[in-house]
Amino acid sequence: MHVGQYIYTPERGWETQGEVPEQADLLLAFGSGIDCSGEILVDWWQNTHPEAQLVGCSTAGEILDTQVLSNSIVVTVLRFSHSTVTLSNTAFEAGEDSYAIGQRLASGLPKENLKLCFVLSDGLNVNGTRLVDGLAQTLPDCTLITGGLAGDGKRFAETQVCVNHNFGKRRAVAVGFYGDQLEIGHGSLGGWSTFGPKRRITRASENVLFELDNHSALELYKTYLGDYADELPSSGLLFPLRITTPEGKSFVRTLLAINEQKGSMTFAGDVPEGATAQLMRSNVDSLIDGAHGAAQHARHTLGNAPELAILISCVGRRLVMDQRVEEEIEAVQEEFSTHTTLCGYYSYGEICPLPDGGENTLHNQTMTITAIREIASTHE
Amino acid sequence: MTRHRLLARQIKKHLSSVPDQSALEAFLAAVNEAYEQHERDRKLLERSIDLSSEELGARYQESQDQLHALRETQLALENSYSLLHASLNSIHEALLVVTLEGTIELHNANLLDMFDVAPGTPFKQIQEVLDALLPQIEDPACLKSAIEDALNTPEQEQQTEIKTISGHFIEAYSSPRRIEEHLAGVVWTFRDVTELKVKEEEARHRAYHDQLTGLPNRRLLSARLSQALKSAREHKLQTAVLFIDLDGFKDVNDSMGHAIGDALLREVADRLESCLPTGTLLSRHGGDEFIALMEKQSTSRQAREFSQAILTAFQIPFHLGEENIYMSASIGIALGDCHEDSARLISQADMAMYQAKQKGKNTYEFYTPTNDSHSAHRLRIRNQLNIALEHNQFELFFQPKVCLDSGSIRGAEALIRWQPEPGEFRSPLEFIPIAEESGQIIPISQWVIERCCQHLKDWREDLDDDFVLALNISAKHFQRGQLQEDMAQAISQTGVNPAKLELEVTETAIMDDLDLAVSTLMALKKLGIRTAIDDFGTGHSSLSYLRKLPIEILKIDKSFIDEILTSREDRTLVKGIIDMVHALDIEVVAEGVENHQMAELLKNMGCDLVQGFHYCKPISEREFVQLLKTRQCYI
Repeated sequence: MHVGQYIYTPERGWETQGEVPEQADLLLAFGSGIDCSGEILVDWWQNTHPEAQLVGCSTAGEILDTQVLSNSIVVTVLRFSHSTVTLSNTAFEAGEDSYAIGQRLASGLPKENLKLCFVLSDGLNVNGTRLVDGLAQTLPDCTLITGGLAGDGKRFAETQVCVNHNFGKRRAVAVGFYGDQLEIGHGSLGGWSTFGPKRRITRASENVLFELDNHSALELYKTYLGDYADELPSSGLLFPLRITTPEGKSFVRTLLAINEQKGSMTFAGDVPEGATAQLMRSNVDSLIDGAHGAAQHARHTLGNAPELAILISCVGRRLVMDQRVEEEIEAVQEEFSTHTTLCGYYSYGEICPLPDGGENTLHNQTMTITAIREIASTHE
Repeated sequence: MTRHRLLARQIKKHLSSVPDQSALEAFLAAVNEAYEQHERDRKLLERSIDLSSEELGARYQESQDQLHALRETQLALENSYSLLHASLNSIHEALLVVTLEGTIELHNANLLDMFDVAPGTPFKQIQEVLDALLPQIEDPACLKSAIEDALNTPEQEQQTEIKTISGHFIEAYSSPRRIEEHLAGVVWTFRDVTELKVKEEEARHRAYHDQLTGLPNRRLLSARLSQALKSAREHKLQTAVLFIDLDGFKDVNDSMGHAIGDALLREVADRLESCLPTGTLLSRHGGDEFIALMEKQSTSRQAREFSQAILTAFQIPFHLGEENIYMSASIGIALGDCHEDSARLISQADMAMYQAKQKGKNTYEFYTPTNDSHSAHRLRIRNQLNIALEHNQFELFFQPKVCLDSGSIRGAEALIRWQPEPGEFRSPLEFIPIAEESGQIIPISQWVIERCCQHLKDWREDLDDDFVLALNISAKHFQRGQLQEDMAQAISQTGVNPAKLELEVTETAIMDDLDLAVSTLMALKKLGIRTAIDDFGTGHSSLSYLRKLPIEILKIDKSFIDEILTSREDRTLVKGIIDMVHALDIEVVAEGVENHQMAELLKNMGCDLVQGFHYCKPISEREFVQLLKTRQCYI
């Protein structure tokens, strides 16, 4: 397996980052803050690696090696020695059931020898929980699903997904990775801690939250944010919610949007009525520790350092860490090797199995790592 | 760009010697941003800690309040529970509450007591209750099916009666238990009605039996006789009635007292029963009278044999304490055929008994139409009086008493009228002596008292303050010693003012037993009732005893007034009576005033009140009320 990287900035145009393979099977592109980025990318793909499949999405920050960038397009070129990839992509209507979108994506992938289903999806017009459920229910049991929701900086205005010639909002793509010599590891960890009282979700519908303990959830956030309430929804990322269902299932939810008229808050995944919710907070050090923990888990599941690590980290982490955001990438790299190529982006939602072999699901506020390597043929 | 204060100070302190700081601008901006971010993070963190600690404090207080409320509720619940427990175990009923699935929710201790079940582990399932209770029930299937029915149709209320093997009667009621609208189970209450049953049975028995002897009473006899005669008519049979009256029983009562008299009557009843032929009903008719009813195919020979057996049995003396009392009986026999009715048959037997008495007592006599003579007439009256009392054939008429001074009605005398058949009136002069002789005067007198009180109550709107209603009390009733009780009862039942009542008692009644009379009159006075000496002048005419009597009125007999206009002697006498009586502070009433001259004369003599045809004859209640309403004045 050969991996190389390109970076595009308006100031410097396209540049290579170290050695790049001549031929490519798959191009992973992540970009932000560039006008006509879709056209620029498709144009470059056609000129440089028309033989490869192109997938990518808009972000809240691109990861290149240990740097976190904005206003760039970073493309990672993958050339497999023994493995193959297949794409399944779909556009969808506003308000369409995300479960059905997941089912549709999954049905477009051959199931045999499927090692990994890597998903990129619109980050604002989708219920990530339902999307992953739809995928998981349709794919064979125990199929590993990772990926993330596209981002739009701190704006939460429009996210885009790119699949070969097609790019735009309300689109999702699943990349199927196949091959006996392909090894995949994964890890996902937040580093957030809960504080304050536990509150019951007394009014919610899917991923839209109205009331906690019969009081407006939006008002609660505004009280806690103080002066930063004006910066909602992005400032809401500073206080994710730890949701615990009556059955004991626990996950973190991050804010995507608010609606002042309805007094509602839209989260990246379900906030089920009857579950308890607790505010979370963090600091830079604990987030860095979280990223390191995710890397440890990924390395552990892989059994070795990967050749490529796709890092999908939450936009909320970037807001908290600000200037120090690259420290979490460095923490990941410390766990891997200098030969591991790091790519990825800051997202509106991360997809990965729950720790300890749990089900595939949507996460928020985590560093989620998909670690890939190809091993030498067993015949060689 | 505003620099963080700390950074500005650090630059001043450490970089003041650096001439050109522009090369460091980007670096310093980054450091500044890091300081600012740190500041923001710290503020946000502090704010969130403050807020959450406030919230947690509020929640702690809330939970304390809830805990307090919970404790209060718990105490209230414990109190309710103990109240419920105490109530459940203090009621006489047994209680069982079961869910629709047959789980026992509750039962009280009485449930075990009522069914004689030994206390053990509390019941959990209905089957355990059935296992414990059913062996105690005479008809277990009945209770079992009642419980099953109630559980199958819990919304219906049901009632069952069960009898325990120990002889108790228990009524079981089931009713639905609801929680709001939701049907939750069944509540059973069990009530021991044994005592009630016994009392009901006693009451039934008492209604048809004589309390003293336990024999069937007049009512039961009457019913059986009617039935027997009906059956006799259908099957062309004959019925015999024996009227048995003890000879000289009154002497026993008078000489040995009522207790011995009653004991004798019981012995007599026993002895009569001992010689009763089969198919014969023996009843006590009242006093010392017994009637035997020989049903079906009774012949004169059988009746004669039975009568003879009674007479023979009575030859043996009755042992009462240390006394041997010889007692005989006179028996009248009437044979009934298809044409007879029960009252007539009894009356015939009574007449025949009277004949037996006439023939020297201690014998029996068959009724023949020829012995239906004068004495038989008296018997008929006696029988008719019984019917009159039962069928309310009496009526009261009223004759006003007028005040001679004012001409207004000051009162009235109530007079009894009897109409046995429509258009047929019997004079009190005819039936009162017979009633006195037979003792029927007492219920008649009681009836008069009750009616008078009722009328006073009905007229209260129309009466003047000084109006007094007078009624006649028979010597028999007066001497019986119970008059004050009868009066008190009638007054309390109607609530009338006793001062509105006046009892007219004859001189004879008083003089027979002066001491008893004085105490009775005192008792009546205590009740607030006025008393009048009636028919003054016909008996002892002794004014000297008046002094001893607590009376308010004296009525001069009509016979003195009749001749007052023509007889100087009578005038002198009447004037003398009036003067003397007035000296004793007693009012005087003159009866039989028939014209204006009489009235004038009496007025001049100082007589207070008068009554007579000159003013008004005795009139019906309806007419009298009219008179009251019009405030009739006789001047």
